Amino acid sequence: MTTETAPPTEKSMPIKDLLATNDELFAKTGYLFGLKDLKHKQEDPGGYEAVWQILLNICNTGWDVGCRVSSSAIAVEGGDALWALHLPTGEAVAVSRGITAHPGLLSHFVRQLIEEGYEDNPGINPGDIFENNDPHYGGIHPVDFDTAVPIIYEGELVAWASGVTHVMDSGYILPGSIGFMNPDSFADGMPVTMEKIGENDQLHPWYAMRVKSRTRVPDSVMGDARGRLAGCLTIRNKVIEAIDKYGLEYFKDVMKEYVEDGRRYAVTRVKNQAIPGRLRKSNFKDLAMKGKRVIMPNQDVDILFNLPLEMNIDKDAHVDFSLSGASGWVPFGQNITPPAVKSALLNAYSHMVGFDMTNWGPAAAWTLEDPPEGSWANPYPVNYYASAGVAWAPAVMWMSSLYEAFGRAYFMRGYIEEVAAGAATTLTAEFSGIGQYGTYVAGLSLEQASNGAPARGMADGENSAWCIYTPNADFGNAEVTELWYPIVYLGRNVQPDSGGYGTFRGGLGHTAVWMVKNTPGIEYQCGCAGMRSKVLANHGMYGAYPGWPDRGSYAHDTNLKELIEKQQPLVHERGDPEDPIMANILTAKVLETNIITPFITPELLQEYDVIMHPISGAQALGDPLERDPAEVALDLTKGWTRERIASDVHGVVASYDEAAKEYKADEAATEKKRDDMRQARKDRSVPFKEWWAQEREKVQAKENMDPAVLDMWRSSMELSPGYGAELRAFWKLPEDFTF
Amino acid sequence: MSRYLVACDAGGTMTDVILVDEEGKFVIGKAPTTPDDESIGFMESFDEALTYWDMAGDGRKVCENAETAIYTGTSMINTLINLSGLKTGLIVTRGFEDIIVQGRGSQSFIGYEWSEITHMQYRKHREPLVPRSLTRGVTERIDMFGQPVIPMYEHEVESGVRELLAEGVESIAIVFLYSFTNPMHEQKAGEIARKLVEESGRKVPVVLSSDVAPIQREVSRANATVIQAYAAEPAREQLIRVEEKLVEKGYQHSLKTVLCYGGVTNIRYPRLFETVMSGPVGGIMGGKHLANTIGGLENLVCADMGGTSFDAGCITQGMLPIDREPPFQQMYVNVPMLDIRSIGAGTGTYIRLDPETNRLKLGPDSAGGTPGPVFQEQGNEIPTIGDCDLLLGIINEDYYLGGRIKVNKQKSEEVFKEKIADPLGLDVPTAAEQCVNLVNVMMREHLIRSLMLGYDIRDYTLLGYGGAGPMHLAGYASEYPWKGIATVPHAAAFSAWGGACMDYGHRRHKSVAAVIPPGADDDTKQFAGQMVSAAWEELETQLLDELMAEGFTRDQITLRQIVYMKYFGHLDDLEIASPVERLNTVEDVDKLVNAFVDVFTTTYTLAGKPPVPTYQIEEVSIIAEVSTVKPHVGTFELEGKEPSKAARKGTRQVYYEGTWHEGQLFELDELRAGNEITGLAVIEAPSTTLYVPAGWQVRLDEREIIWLEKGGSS
Repeated sequence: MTTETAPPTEKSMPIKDLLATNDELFAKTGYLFGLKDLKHKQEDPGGYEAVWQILLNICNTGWDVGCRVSSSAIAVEGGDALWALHLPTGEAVAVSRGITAHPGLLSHFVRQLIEEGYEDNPGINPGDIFENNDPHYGGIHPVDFDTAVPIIYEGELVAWASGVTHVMDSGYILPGSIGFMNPDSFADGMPVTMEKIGENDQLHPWYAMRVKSRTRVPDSVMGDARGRLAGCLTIRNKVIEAIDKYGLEYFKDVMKEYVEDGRRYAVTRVKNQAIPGRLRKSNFKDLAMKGKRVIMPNQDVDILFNLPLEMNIDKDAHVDFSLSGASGWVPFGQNITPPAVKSALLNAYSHMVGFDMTNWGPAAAWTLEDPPEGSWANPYPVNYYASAGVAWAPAVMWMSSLYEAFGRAYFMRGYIEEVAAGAATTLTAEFSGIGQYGTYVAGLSLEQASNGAPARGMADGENSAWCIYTPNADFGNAEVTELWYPIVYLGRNVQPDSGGYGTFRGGLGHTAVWMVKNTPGIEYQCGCAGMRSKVLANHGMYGAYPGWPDRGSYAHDTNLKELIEKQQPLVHERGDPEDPIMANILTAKVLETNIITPFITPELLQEYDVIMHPISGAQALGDPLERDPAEVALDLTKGWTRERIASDVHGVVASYDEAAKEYKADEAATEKKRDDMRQARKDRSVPFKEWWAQEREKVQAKENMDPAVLDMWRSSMELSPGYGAELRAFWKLPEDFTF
Repeated sequence: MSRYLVACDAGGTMTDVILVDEEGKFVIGKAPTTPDDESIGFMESFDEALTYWDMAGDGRKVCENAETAIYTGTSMINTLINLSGLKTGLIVTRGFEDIIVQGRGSQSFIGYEWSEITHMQYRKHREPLVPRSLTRGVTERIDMFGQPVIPMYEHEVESGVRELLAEGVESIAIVFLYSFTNPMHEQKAGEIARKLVEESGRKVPVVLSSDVAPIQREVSRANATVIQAYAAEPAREQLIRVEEKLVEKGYQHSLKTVLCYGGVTNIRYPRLFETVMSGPVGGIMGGKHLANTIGGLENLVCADMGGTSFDAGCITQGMLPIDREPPFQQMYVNVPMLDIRSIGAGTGTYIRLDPETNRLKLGPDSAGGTPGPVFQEQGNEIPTIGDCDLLLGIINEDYYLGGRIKVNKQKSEEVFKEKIADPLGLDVPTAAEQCVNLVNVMMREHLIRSLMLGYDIRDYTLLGYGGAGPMHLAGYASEYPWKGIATVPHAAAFSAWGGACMDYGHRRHKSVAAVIPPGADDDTKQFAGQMVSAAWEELETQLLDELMAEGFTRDQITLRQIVYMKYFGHLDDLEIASPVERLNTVEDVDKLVNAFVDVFTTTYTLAGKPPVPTYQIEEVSIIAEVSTVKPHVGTFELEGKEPSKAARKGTRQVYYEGTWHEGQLFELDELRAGNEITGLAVIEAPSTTLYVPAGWQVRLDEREIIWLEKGGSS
């Protein structure tokens, strides 16, 4: 009998130790799990791909089952769901189709279970079900529920299956799932904090009880819970079949190779397509709530976020990201945590860098400097109770910068086809109240799930075709949305000129027009899941101009019924924002046609009230004076732009040809007009030095600076002293200068 | 005098005509498709088929004695691709004038791989069939309960129609929201439009969405309605030309065409848009006919592998699953279609290495039949699966397509070595075998994951066909416990053969709103039952009227009742064949609910079942069929297990599992019922190759169906 102890193997090693070992190996070798060689890939490339196909199919089967069991239109029609397969230590290996924003979060959730010692207490056993929606422990915002089940093979934890859905309501202080108004985390609804919510493949009864007592649409929330679980169990069962077939050791090894290969893929894509160097992008988002319906007194305020992006690509194509200069946390549900920022980065990577290996690997191809403590991107060190009700809101604006930053890096290298000029804003519509069935309803419409797509380096963006948080961009059918809420669509047409103005315009968005019907009263939230209030929405790239701002409209206590009875014209679209149709058609006790978003209607809306909800187009690219006049004429013919825009913005002289039934551009007259416009630009311009001096005076004097602006700069400089020093140096300000 | 069946499958490249005599013997002719006038390609293919019966120039004899002629063509799809349909005007609910132009976001990535879906630069909406300039809005609204919450402004219909007529439109489509619940506005608008058309003295068809596809989801319904208005009549003209050619030769009946949901109809069928995606239907229906004929195949998976795609459908207990909103030509369309799942995998599938990761990538794009694999030397320089099949010794370089196509094996090897094998650090046969194994896994996974979700494979027979089907059948069938694995000698033309195997049938769907809440009392259940029964009654009346107007008698027509059912709150429903013809009693309703619960729990695991269920039926359907004459599946006397000498063609080196083996070669046409062959063997025919790996054997049964079984030895 020997007393010697065998060295720990992966099987005998606690997962927590394995995690530490893996981290150490990566730090030491630069390869995930120390995998310098991808043995299975090299020796049997066909088999390697075959198993990859099987794992992808397993995850997509999880999606098929999960979505069909789920109750959520957001998941099924809007694509806001995802299932994944992970290593025992959390790294996502393969993911289903769906919302690409989540593989990082799900990976973090599993890792967090390990780090918190769950292996010992409460234990990780076959049939266990774990869940988290708590941003304090890696959740993004509490309406996104992350569920994970362990995959245990012959007594060994060999993998995890996970799933996420965005539920219709998780008990926020106000109904619905876009909690931009949540003043603090106590308003963030029902927490499920890293819990074991079930055993033996069954949800605990108290889980359903809590959902019933703490959410407003419990049947729907439980439907989603069952969907997440069914998808996870499907993945688990299929993975066990695959292990039976390929053998445990092969399975364990090849899973790690896929993750490391994902890292290499991201590195190589950057190396091949981008230019090394430092790219910085200033981006700003505001939240204008002063004078509007709010919950707490400190919310009666306008806020400006600083969303700085710094991207450094080194000679080995490793990328470092920084949010240095991010402004302070806000008393709204618009703060996000560092793990969620990392997942947002992974999301943007899957759209802009690599399209083929969506797993945890690319997250090891870059590093993210910890966002400034106390900023909107890392609030808890300063305010542990900051709300993350709709944490995506600042993150999607920041991701838009990432699109643009990579776009510039690709453009410089000549990959103009890969350029995307930045993503559109996300303005949500939610309803709550008594629905058409006489029962309570609360939730999100799908309108925001399909914006215009950004302009490309060589073409316009597509209309209604992209959504920054899910590639499954789709707003579905109006007839389906009407099943959920007591509204009747009066319109859903393309919104002209909503894609900005450039050599290539962004894809256009649309305007939804609703008449409230079959309800004693509902509330409408024109919510912010990533939009701007007074700051122009989608600014554009390389000299493009922004489109019209997203502005809300509604009419309460209207004469619509009377108009209908008299068969008078009704309201079906926004019209020219400078002369909105609604104001010309309706009379109402409350008639708002240009509300700075976001907002919640102060009144309970009733039958024959009208809501007009804009869905933004995307960013344009290039100087609008360089747009092909024929394209401008074509847009005029299609009704996608207006004559005064063609003339005043694009400098195109066009006229309608009655015989041909189309607009035609006069090329000579256009050239002349464009020359004049360019000359006018020159006449207005001043040398940079002169401009700098003028502006410096204003900065130093804080001239005409709104308190929101001053607060933003002050917090940015305080939370990131290096950024503050740089700012002072640029403007040659005194060392003790502050805003 | 023998009686004949004539069936034609006109594809994008080739037109196949199959002639079947009353003993079930058949010949197949092939000719290039002639899109401008499909009757030309049809007759060339027809004439070529005759030559195999030594009846060249004797087409009249076949036509005069033809029981029926069935034609599946590409005219409608070509009309949509080439935008060569009628100039169509659209009248829609005001505020939805962009319904066609804008569509929905997901239409901009229909058919994409996930890696393409995440790549936003690939997004593209299709060119609209109706531009905004030919669209007119009409103020009106029916709500979800069918209530007219905004009356239709008739004056807007009048002005809209007048404007469209002034624009010179040749057809008018009318699509109002929720018209499937209450069609009163559409019907009135149609009445006004037809009156104005009549006054104009022109012939402009007016098509209503509530007639064409009374199904929820306005974008898909609008697409269906516009396709009918835009493409149906031009397609019908092509079909009539084919019919005229047949009639000139003495054919005495009307030409039939194939419906997307499997079934044939007269080419004068009003809703001709239901034939828009009938291409892949033939194979599934051929499988169904085989199953009906020989018994024991009630559960059948039909898999078609050609040069470009791998298309598969699943028949369960004789039921054909239907996709009610299939994607087609960058549109979702409300047309019931056989649920056929496809991936890009065929002999033409390109093999590449990802430049970033050196990973092996198959397709999804393909060299198809033209230019085809590298060895065809038609301009393709990217290796394909077909090249691998050749390099492994499975394809006979001297007998490819019966020797009609010249094969340059050396070129294939050089290109494959340079582009694939060397960069992978593998020798040519090893790399080629890995590629073939990979495509087999992709097809196998496609069958298992996308088609067999919730079904027990052990209950299903896998029938493989298509030109490349028999070559890869053992590969993609392996690893899972199929009840049986089969192919047929005419695998390459099985889809065309299947075109002759369909019943005459129509199908109608209708949205309803029947709900059975938890603990529903008898009155509630009966109310739901009455709602469903009334909808069935309505659809049955329509279908019986249609079929009887076409000359069938009531007793020839069989009716089947279908519901689409789900738990309340779920978005996806399941197709359930009703165990009763009407839901007259509480017991009838309970039987239907039980049938649903059985299917649901099998499909989605118990975890998905709500503890307190509410059942919801949002759509019902009726299938009306008339049995028609079909090809006879003959029975042959069993001969010995040993193939004849004439069938033996010698041996060839075939690479399998890392080494070269001496494979036995056989001529398929010379094999007989009862013959058995043990792998490793290659069975060759002019139109296909059946590959029998080591460890497998094949057996031809008394119907000359070829069964692949594991257990043989080399």
